[in-house]
Amino acid sequence: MTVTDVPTGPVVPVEPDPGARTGRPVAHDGPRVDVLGVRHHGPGSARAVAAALDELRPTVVLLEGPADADPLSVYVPGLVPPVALLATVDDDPAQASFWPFASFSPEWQALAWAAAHDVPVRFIDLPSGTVAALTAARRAAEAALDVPADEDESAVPGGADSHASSVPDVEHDVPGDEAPDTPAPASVREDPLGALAAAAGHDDAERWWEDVVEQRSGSLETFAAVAEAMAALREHAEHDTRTPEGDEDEELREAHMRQQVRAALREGHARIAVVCGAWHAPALTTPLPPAAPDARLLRGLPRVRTTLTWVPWTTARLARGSGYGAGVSAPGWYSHLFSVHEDVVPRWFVGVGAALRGRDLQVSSAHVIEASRLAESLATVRGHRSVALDDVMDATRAALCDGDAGLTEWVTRELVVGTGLGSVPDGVPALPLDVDLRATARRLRLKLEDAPRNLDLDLRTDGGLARSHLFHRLTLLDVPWATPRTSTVRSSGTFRESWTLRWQPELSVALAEAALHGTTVVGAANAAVRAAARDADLPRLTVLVEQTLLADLPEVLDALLGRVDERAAHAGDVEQLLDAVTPIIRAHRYSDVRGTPVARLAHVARTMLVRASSGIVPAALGRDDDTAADLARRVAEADAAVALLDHDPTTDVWVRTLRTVAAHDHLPGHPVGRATRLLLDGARITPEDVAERLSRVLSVGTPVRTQAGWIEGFLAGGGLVVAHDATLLGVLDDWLATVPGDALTDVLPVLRRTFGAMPAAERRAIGDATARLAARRGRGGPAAPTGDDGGLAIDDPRIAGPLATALLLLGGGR
Amino acid sequence: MTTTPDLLRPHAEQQFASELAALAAQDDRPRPPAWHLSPQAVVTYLMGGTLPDGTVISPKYVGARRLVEVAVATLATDRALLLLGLPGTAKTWVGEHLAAAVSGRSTLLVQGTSGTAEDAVRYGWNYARLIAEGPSEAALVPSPVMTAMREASVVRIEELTRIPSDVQDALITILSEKTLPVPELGTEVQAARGFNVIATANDRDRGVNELSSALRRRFNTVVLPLPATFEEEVEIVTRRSAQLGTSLDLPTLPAGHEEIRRVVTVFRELRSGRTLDGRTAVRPPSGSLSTAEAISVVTNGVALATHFGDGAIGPDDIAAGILGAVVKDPAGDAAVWSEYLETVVREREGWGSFYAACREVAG
Repeated sequence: MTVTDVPTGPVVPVEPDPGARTGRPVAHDGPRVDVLGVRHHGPGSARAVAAALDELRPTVVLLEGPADADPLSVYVPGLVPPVALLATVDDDPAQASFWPFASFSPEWQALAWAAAHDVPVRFIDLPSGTVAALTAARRAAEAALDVPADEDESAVPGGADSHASSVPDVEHDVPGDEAPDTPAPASVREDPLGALAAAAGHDDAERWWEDVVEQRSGSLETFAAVAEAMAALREHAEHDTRTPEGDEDEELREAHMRQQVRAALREGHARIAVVCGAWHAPALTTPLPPAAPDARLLRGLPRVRTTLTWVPWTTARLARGSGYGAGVSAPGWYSHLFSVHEDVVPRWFVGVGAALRGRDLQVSSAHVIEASRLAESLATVRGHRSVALDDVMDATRAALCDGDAGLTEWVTRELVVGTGLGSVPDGVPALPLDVDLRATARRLRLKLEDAPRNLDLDLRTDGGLARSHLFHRLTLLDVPWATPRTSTVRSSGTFRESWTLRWQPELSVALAEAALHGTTVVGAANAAVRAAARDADLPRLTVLVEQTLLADLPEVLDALLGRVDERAAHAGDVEQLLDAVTPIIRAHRYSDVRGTPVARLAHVARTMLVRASSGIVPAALGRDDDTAADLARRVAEADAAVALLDHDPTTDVWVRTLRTVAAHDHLPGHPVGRATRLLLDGARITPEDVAERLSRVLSVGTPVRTQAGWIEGFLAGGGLVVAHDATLLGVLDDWLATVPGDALTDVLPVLRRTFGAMPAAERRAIGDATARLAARRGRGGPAAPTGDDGGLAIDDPRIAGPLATALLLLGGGR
Repeated sequence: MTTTPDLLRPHAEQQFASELAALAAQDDRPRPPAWHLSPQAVVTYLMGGTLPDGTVISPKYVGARRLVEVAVATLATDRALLLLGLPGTAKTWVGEHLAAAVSGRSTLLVQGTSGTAEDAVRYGWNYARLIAEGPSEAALVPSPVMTAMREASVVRIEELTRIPSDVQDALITILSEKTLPVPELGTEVQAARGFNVIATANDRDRGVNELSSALRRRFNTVVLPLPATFEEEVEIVTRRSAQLGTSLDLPTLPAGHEEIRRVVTVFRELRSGRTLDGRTAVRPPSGSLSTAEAISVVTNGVALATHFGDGAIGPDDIAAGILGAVVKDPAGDAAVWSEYLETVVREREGWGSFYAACREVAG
């Protein structure tokens, strides 16, 4: 259903007695049930719920949430929102559901109110174990039918309108994926109040709620009106031909909720408040239908074992639209709306101004006033009844940030989203992963403390190695408790690692997310690697291989290498292959050092090398100087890694490729020169051979730029070779002297770069060698003029002047 | 639509007179003092739309509506508007149309250059008269700014950052006190309600004559971005080259013409440093490759085809124009262009004749 289907006219009650449908107390002296239909994470609803509860003074609060979470409500007084209820399936931790709570969530307000007034709280939705079992069953059925699951809808178990969100498929989630600026139009059942607001022409449902609903009536009447509107919407949705997935679950869920309401009535509670998504309000309103059909529906539901607990949460995670965020794009703004009652806009801008001043930006009160005025004016132009978030943000950018996008983004991150971090008191049941991590840390005598601490590990000791493995596994899990102080990749061949340890509070949240991968650090790390490898490209895969080796996860390494092999087969880009070959060979070489020999690694390294070899010549054809030089550099790096393979037969293929490149007439100069040099350094060709090639390249038939590239490539491996080989130097020297004048200007920058990159000592050695060479050849000729003693020749008339001055300075006099 | 067909380039209020009249006739929302249209109608004029009586308003600015809304809302407060952006992002264009829609005229204009003197911002004197009669109201030559203050109009200041700092600061009193003192006569000109300033400045020129913070504070800033999507840019180029072509008696290209798409593809790829499919990295040239340049490449191509070719625009008609737009610095950009031709253009399907044409032009 689309938002345009929402009836915009006056809402007609569907039953003759509106009171029965709208949650208004039934007019007799029996127990009273008030249904407060809310917008999940809506600050307006939150405030209304708090006010309504104060007014109603219920003896029990029923809340939409997993029924098995009841025992956890005792921890509410110690919790600091944002927090989330996390339910993990014991046998399959990747099957998890989150119910995030912010301070401005109506559900949280209900929990807090009940805790403060010592009133019992019941969660009345299906238990998490049942939801998980239903989801699993549905996914199995889908898999059997081979119907691609619609990610958006199957992502939320138990009906799309639940305020829970889950990650049935960890690999589908993109961590760090930011919520889009404008959330996609939600369906009516997902956000019925948003749909109503949209129908009324409002894009900000919160402000609409504020304008239309809250400021007009007392909170109880508000909920009655909402229930009425929802009844009409539901009526409308029934005619909708498209049956959204989870419809079946919705029936189950509402049946379960009704049963819970009946149970509370049976217990003899006189005043019952039910807080649930607005969509469900009409279904739960008294008088309830007969209980028998509901009981029949709920009989024999499947159930799996789950573990529920509270975990700390962050506002940034609330803002995430995908995965297990709450999809609240602006938690900071919502929180402001929730806590501030008047002068909402000016107070907001005062906060923005203060934050910008904190960054040393000149923001005066005048700026703040202008921003507020612009926001109001924008709201008028856009026809908003009151200032909405997009007015506020546009005004922030134009009036406070000088139109700067980066700064506006910063304001969004810091204030609109916010940097709030919740906390959970000690004593709350810990996640299995958390327990495992703490046990491992204790065993390795490490403390999870906030103060940073440096640690040097000796990998030859068992303790050092075990700690290193733990740190690398946590890195793979995105729980950066330990951060390397030096690049671990580079030092993978050594016995030493340096780390900085710091357990920051955010890590609890990261750990809660990592818990989706598994119940132990090893298991979770394995799963995390597997998930990351699924869509990774070749460079990312090779990094993963190295990380996996460092983290000692042999179980997953084999599969990972299979992926590398497969990807390498499809990689069309020689550069990518060359870049990948180096770390793989290095990993192969050093896997022994770290005590993790892997036979497959050698195989993959070999096949990748063969693949890269075959691609070099075609890739080098037709390149310009810069990209050819880049390719040559990569070839040289790969060659350095190949040297680590010792006497492996595959190296022959590599050498053959280098020979082909070196002998190729139509390649750019740089790779040819570089390959020649690599062959020379590896003693695969003789210096005489090189001299011959050099003189061929430097003869008239080759373009000067190619020649310069050749020399640059050849000398990129160090210049001493020409200092020690008079033949090479001679060829070079002759060439330089015969380059025609205008061509010289062309190649001079390249030559300057070539020789300028050498250390001074090398340059001096080449200079000396040149002088000696010239001496041997006698005076004249192309080389620099030299004196009889082999030193530089002195041009007497020209030197006379400076000589006289020098003498004068030295006190000699004439 | 054009009231005076002999003009090479009619002002916005001349070219779109009928649209403005239709908007004004059907505009029932409150108008700020001295405004010819309500703010909402101004937004409609810029973004286009259909009026209740069926009059179609052509879009003048193709891009984010919210930017135009911020600009109009700014003018509705008494803050001045600063349009910032790279060269060729339609700053002047938007400023002209805003002035035309708000005040009914876009002709009050100060062109900022390094030689702009205070006379252009405040007032000057008719020296013959000054010497003959002494300082008098009659000897005073008002600047466009002064005229706008008197007549409750919007004045445009182009390239604000090119104006020397001391002249820029003459604006501070005008923008904060809304008055322009004339000490020689012992009088002042107070701005009538409806006066405002639209200034444009170039992002790349930042630091030439950076605005003082006192002046900056008087402006709300709207940054006009390069077109966000390929289709958006194609639309802009199509629309603008058609408008330019009409005044030059050139045939109009159909929307989404192959060559327009080609030009936009080349410009976007070189500008962003990667091909549209994101597969290949491309070295960007030194020029900014603005949409305005793309428009002129297309217009030139149409002119070439009409006057020297067979009338239908083809790859050879745009090749030279593109070369000129890309290669600004003969040394570096030529290599960039040739690399782009070899690595991207040559292999692209259906681009064979374009490749050949470019190779021929590049020599």
